[in-house]
Parts: sequence; structure tokens; C-alpha cells
Amino acid sequence: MIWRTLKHNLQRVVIEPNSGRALCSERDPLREAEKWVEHCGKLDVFDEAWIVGVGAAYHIEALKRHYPHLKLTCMTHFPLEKLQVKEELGRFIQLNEVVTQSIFFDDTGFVKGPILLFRPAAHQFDLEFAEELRARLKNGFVNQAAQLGFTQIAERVANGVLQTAIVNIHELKKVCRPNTKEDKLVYALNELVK
Amino acid sequence: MKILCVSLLRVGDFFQVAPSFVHRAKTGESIHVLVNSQYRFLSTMYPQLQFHWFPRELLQSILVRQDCSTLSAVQILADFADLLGRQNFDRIENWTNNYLSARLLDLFDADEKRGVFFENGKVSNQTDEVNYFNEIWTRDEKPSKILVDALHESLNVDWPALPFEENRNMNKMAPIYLQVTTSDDKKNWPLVGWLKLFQMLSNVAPTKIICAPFEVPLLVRSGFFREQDLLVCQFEQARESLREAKLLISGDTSMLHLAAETLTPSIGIFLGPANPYKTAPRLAGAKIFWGKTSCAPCSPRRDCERVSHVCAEQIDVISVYEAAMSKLEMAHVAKVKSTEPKYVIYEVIESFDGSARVVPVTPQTSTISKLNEKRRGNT
Repeated sequence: MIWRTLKHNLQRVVIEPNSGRALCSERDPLREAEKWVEHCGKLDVFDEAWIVGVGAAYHIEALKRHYPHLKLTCMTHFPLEKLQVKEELGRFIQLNEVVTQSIFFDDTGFVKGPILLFRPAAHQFDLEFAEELRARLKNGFVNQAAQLGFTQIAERVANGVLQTAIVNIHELKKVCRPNTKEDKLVYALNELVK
Repeated sequence: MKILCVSLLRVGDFFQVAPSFVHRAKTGESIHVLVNSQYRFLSTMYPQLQFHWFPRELLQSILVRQDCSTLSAVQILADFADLLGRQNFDRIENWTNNYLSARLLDLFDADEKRGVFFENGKVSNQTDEVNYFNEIWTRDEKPSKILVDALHESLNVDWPALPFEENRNMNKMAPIYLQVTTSDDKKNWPLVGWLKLFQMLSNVAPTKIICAPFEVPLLVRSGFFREQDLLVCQFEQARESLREAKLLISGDTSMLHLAAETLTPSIGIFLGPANPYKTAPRLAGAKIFWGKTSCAPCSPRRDCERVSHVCAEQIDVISVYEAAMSKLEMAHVAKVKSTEPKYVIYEVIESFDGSARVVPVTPQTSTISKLNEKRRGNT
């Protein structure tokens, strides 16, 4: 794992010195963060969100502002203390107990759990990390599908790419054996999207 | 006996049936209620009941979002069903009577299930009472029983005695509350009418607009009311305030049912899809105005197709004011006499079997009111 030092440029934007690449919008990082939160859709109903990529943390700050109840876990290849972000952002992150961590969750964990959000303008590390996540996501999905009784779907995804894991409730209805527990669950859920 | 009552409609529907749940809890039954999780505040309002929260919004959100796995929703519901299953209920009652609740009952185990439910993929428990409720009552525009009583009958559960309005006119400082907005535009009486009524009533008693925080911008920024005219509160505080009130005038809202629980004298203004024969407050003496139009009650799912909001136009401020004066037992000489009434006033009375019955009364001769008065005197 490689650690990189980051610094501010003249416009107080967090940049990487080696590549000179900005970690957020150079013109208006706050607006960029706001637009990203808007793009995430309504998150009120979720208790927890995992975010891939810390960047300059403007988007984390914006997310927390809109959804103060949301427990955030930010995932990145480098720990936050290595990020020389603006002091106030650092304080904000500490105060709001935003957790940063490297990859250590198990495969099934996040299929069951929180909503997963990707930071825009992803850093190279984030992209690599996202790739890694996709592989884990696929494994997690296959395990969970098998555990819930959707063996047909589990096999299909195991032998295919991650995109094959995108199933909706109607597809689940088709593969359920009648009068099984999964059949009852799927039909009850179907009533919620009618 | 440990009973789970499934009540997955809106909060107003819960307020209609809550007195029955509380009554049964007081008689020694252990009443658990399954309610949508966005109504968590109910647990402080009804400490006699044990609540379980159905994660409806979360499930819906997961099911419709592209960035969430549908399997997560299946897993969450499976975990939820397991959790409820561990409660070992003696009986589960379906107070919601829709497909969702009927399907959910298929997931939960109990010795006895009442109301409609699915069993191995097929609709079960089609008793005469359940069939009557689902096939006849729901389609009938003027059923003989209001929703709460019809539900009790279909579930074969004893209902508590019909309560009577309390007369709080002796307390001169007791306020009058107006709830001026509803969840559906078609059910709203125009704000200009409410403003006029508010001004007239303010001359005879302390009057406030009772509203939720999210309604403040509409009421104040529109210029109709000032902040000091409002009592901004959540349901819990609203219920406490209603206990002291001498009158509530409201559209077909949850507040009207909360007023029934607190025995607050009430006047309802029913417009659009609101139907007094179905959702009148279960409170003897409560009065309801209903505009006489061919399209009423309309469908809650469709927009109003008339050129103007005809049902709202049938009900004039003077008539509502006169009804309020009559409730407050205050003499009133209207400066402007209303012409031939284009509305019907309904009153909730006690039926022979103890249920609530909604009957039309004329504004001039309110014989039913006298009956209610006599009955109230006896109790």
C-alpha cells in the first residue's frame, strides 16, 4: 500500500503533489458536494452508509449535513490522518465520528447491510478499490442468494459478471418455488412496489 | 392472551382504532401492534400497547433504488418475520385489510388469525363478516357502519361503548382549534374560508389554528395567518391540547380522530374523497358538513375533474359558524342568512347495537342532537 501526501493549492483545494490532481472541484467544491448528495437520492430511511473514497471530504460533510442521523463509514486505501485536509474538515470528521477504515469487511456483510455510495470524480485508488468491491459484491450476492433459497439466481451470478446480479422483484417471483418461505417473502414485498 | 394487531395504514387510521386497542389492553389482554416505522412517536402516546415497527419505507426504498440489492429487502423482511415469530402470538388480527397485510400474515405464525390473510398463496378465512367488509362495505357509498365499527364486526372483536362529546362550555378560557389543511388537496376547504371563520370565532372564544411544523410555511408565508395565530405541535402535544379544547373544527384529518379519543366536541368538513359514512369520528354528537355534489365522494387516486372545487363551494362560512355557535351553546343572530343549504349536516349517533351511526340532520331542526343530549344526560 502506498501512502501519499496531499496539500492545498493556492485556491485551498486539496491536491496530490505528484499528479497535481485535485481531489474535489477546483472551482466550487461545496456545490459539487451538494450536487453529489442530491444525486444519491433520498437517504432518510437508511441508518448507515458506506462511502468509497474520502477525497477532500467535502461530500462527507455535505452528506452529514443533509442526513445527520446517518452513520458513515468511509473506505479508502489510505487512512484519513494521512490526508492533510483543511483543519475544520478534520475536526468535523472527528466530531461526527465518521469512521475510516481499510478493507476488512466480509463478503456477505455489505449486501445485507448499509447503502454503498461512491464518491464522484473518483481517485485512482478509489477506482481500484471499487473494482475490488465489485468482486466482493458478487461473492456476497451469490452467498446471500443461495442462503435465501434463490439457487438459480446464485448460480447464474456465480458464472457471470456482476451485472447479472441486478434482479428485481418480478424476476425473484419467477424463480420462487410456490409456498416456500422465499415465495411468501417475495409476494409480500411485491405489494410494496405495486 | 397475546395478540398482534396489524395496522399498516396511515396514522389517522391508527387513531381511529387506537381507543379499541387501549380498551382491550386495559381489560388484561397483551396487545401488540404492528405499525409502519415512520410512526415511532406512537409508542410514547400509547404506553399501554407494545409496538413493532414495520420497515415499510426502508423496504420500498431498497426495492426501487438501482443502487440497492433487492435481496437486501428479502433479507430484511425475513429477519423481521423471524423476530416477530419469536413472540409466539396467540392471535394475529388484520386491521389493515389490504394485500400487503394479508400477505404478511402468511409469514407470521399464530394459533389463530382473524381478518383476511393468505395461506400458502391463497386468500384464506373468507368468513361472512370478512367478505361483507371486503366486498360490500368497501364498495358501499353509504354503509350503515363507519370503518371502525365495521372492522370490529369483521374481526369479531367487541368494541368499546360509543363515547359522547364532553361539554366544556363552562370553561370560558377553553380554546377552539381549527385544523385547516389535510393530506389531500381535494379534501381542503379554501384557506380564505378558514380565515373568515377564524376571525369570527376569535370574537367569541380564544381560537388557534392547530398545525404541524411542516404546515407553518403554507399558513404563514401565504399571508393568511400570523405566527401567533398558530399552535404548532406534534401529535402528542396536540392530544394534550385537545383535552382542554371546547371545540375542534377540521377537515377529514387524523386530528378529528384524535379529538374523538379525547372526547372533544368536533365539527368536520368533509370534501373530495372524504365520506362521513365511512370515516366519521367515532364520537356521538360530532357534526359533519358534506357538500351536496354528484361527484362526492370522489376517488382519492384521481385529480378533481370539475372546473372548480364544487364540493368546497357548497359549504359557506356562516353555516359552519352557526354550527359552532350551536355547539358552544351561544345565541347567534347571523347578519347574513344562508340561502337554501347546498350541504348536508351529519351527526354521529349511537345505534341500537352500540355502534356509531351517521345520520343526516337539517341545520334548522336538529332532533338527533336532542336525542344525543338526552342520552348524554342519562350517562
